[in-house]
Amino acid sequence: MNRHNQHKPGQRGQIETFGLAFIVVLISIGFFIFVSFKSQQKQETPQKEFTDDKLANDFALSIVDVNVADCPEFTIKDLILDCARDHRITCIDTDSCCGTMNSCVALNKSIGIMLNETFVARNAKFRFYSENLNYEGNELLNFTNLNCNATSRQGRAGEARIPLHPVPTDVILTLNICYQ
Amino acid sequence: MLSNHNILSDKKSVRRGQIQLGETTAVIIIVIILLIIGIVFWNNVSSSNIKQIQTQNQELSVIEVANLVSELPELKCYDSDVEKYNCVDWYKLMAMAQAINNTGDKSIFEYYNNYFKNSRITIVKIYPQEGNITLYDVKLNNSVKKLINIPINIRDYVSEDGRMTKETVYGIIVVEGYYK
Repeated sequence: MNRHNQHKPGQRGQIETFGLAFIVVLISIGFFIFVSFKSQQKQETPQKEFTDDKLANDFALSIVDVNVADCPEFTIKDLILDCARDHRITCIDTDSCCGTMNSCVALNKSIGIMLNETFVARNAKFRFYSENLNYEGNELLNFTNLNCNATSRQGRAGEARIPLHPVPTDVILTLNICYQ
Repeated sequence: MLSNHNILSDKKSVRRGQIQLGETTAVIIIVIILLIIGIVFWNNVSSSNIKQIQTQNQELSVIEVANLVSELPELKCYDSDVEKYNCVDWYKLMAMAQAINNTGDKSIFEYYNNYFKNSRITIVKIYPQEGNITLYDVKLNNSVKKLINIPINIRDYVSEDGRMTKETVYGIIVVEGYYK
């Protein structure tokens, strides 16, 4: 009986030691897994964040004051106002001899060129659309690239508002850059 | 019999002591191995963190240059002394590029080198005109480039019926940072 009692504390000590070692090993493995997982998470870089933000914001604001190739005396803003409200401007189609087009068609064409050169050429996922700018029953401007649509994960957005005074509405041009 | 008993109990004590010593040694060895693994792993994580910080700093430096170029008072457009947002003047660009890239006098290049650092800055006209101008180029070879594009309006002048008229062109500022 004494021998049995003498063995018990020794065995207990061994079990405790192995238990402690096991816990230490478990905690270490857990820590390594956590650090590995954390280091593999992709973080958005400052460059990508800035570029997406600046591109979206400045594009929408920059194109509004640009002169149109088919109507050199008018800007994009002038064509938007005419397409939405006045319907007086006729532009000469520079791609075809002697052809003419209305302000809405000229607007669609010019914005398409700028979007192609800025975003499509750089394989950027984007969606550019207008609100309150109807042509033949639909919204005039609706460009997308690489399946960026309303249900996609949207990133940065840039917006330009053109008031149609005295009509109490604004035409809104929106550019959304989608996450890759 | 008593001496035999003493010898036996001595042997048992020695054995018990040896076992305990072995246990302690094993625990110490395991802890040291775990510590070494932890140090090696932490070292790898730290060095990848340092690289990440370095990349972020490089990108932030390029962003700083990009912001600076678009806000340079030497290049800004003015309408009746009122500064236009997000606009650079093409003729001012040409003059500045000529001054900076003057091989005979490096003082202006060195002045702007403090601001533009290791970069190449190009302004590209996209619509309705095309063209580009390299404003500044530090010309470093075999380096990694970080690239940023910023949409901008470019004020240009066209000759019409013998007089110069203003035209707003859509373009982008391309800033490339050179890094090893």
